[in-house]
Amino acid sequence: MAKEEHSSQTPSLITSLPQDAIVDIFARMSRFDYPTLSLVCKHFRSIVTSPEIFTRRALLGRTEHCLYVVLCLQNRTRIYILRKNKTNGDTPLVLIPSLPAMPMYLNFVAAGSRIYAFARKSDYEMMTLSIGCGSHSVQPFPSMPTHLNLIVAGIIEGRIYGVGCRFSSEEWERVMVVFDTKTQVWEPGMISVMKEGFMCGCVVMADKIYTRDYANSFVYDPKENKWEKDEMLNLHKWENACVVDDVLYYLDCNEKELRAYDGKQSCWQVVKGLETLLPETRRRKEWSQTVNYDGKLALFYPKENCEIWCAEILLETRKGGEIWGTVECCRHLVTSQSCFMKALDVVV
Amino acid sequence: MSKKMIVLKSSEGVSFVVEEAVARQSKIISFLVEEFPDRELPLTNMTSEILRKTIEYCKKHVVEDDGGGDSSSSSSGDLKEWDVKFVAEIDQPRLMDLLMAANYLDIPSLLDVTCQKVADTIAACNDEKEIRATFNIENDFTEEEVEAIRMENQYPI
Repeated sequence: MAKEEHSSQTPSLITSLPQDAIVDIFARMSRFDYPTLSLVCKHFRSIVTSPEIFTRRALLGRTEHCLYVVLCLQNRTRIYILRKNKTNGDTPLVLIPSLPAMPMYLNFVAAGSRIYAFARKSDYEMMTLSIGCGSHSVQPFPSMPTHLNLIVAGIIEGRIYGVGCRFSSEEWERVMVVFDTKTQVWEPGMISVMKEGFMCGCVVMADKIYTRDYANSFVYDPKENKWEKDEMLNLHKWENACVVDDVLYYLDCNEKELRAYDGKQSCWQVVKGLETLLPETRRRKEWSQTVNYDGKLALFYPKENCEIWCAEILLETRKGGEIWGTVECCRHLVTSQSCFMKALDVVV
Repeated sequence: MSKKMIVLKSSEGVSFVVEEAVARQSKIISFLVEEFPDRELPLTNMTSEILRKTIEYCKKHVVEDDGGGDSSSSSSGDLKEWDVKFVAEIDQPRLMDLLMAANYLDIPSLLDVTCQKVADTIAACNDEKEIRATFNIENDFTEEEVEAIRMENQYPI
């Protein structure tokens, strides 16, 4: 059958489909195809830029994991999205122009399709932003119940646990506040926090919060509202860590090893299989970061000449409990004297 | 045991006699059968060709209750393979008609496979030009508008 015949006799049928059906079709595609779709015609553009498309993706269970990267370039903190690994020569990092420049000293937490950002405006004021990663828009988000300088935040079952400092009775004290992302309210009251911890990082593993300072590592169980020291975890100065399947991972920049800590077994090990990748990393710990990216490990690391790279590593636990990593892809993101701030896995 | 049959009529007036269980995969038909039992159901916006295809799909996907619990006539792996072949054999205009039929009759699984096929066809295109050519879509943007959207999408770092 000749294609020509069809195009001359019948109009394009895809544009005459009911709106609902087109939304259904586009919702099944990768969001990284949407920039191309938006260039096809005005009708397509209106659909891929509507919030409806992201609601439908969630309804159909067609959401996908996307990596967002916060970078500070030329003193401007902006949010970028990392394209999926495609073989065409496009730059992998794309700036999201609709999201405004952010202040420095930010904390971020990803919860489903949203990023919650806590920015320091002054010693006595925080700015709270909620970023919808479907339409890339900033929504209002209730400010914290108290003036708090947020240091770190982690999320457990849709509740953000934020730890910060506040000035009370002529001294700084640390408190923890909880924001419920489902009801979008701050829970009343504050949880007391010990004076140590939180300076060097915070992760959530098996529904518990792990943190450390220069001397010790701690674990907090929200169910029992109890703090404990974790001596085994404290064997290594972990930071910029992430958790995949209840195992904590971090890049040891000095030894150039990817270390893993199993909280259940209370034991450390070095991830094997990365002997060619890791020697390339540079000893600049402030740049390296690990992110749980849809069950894989995304490792952001600096090389010489101010290059930031991202490796996607598939993790596998072999017999005897050894963890092996396979590098699925490795990409150069940007070359700059910039400051790498945070990478987040968002589901849209 | 005799199976209950119903009659569906295409836009050309051709009647199709179908087992009720087969036709009930359409939520609309399921509703109509209950409201108007023993009535011929006219589907005036569906050609015989598309109605035949829709019935073919529903026959393959009917879940038969054989007394020992629900069992599909095929295993789910076989069904998936059959679905892929089913949509692969249909040309684009008919695929659109079939998608419309699935949408109109409310047959979720048929809507799923047809939408997926269209989505895959679009995703296989290299750029917006190829999408327009494949689906015969008119470019209604000015060059300036295209440039503006491109900037938005591919903002240089």
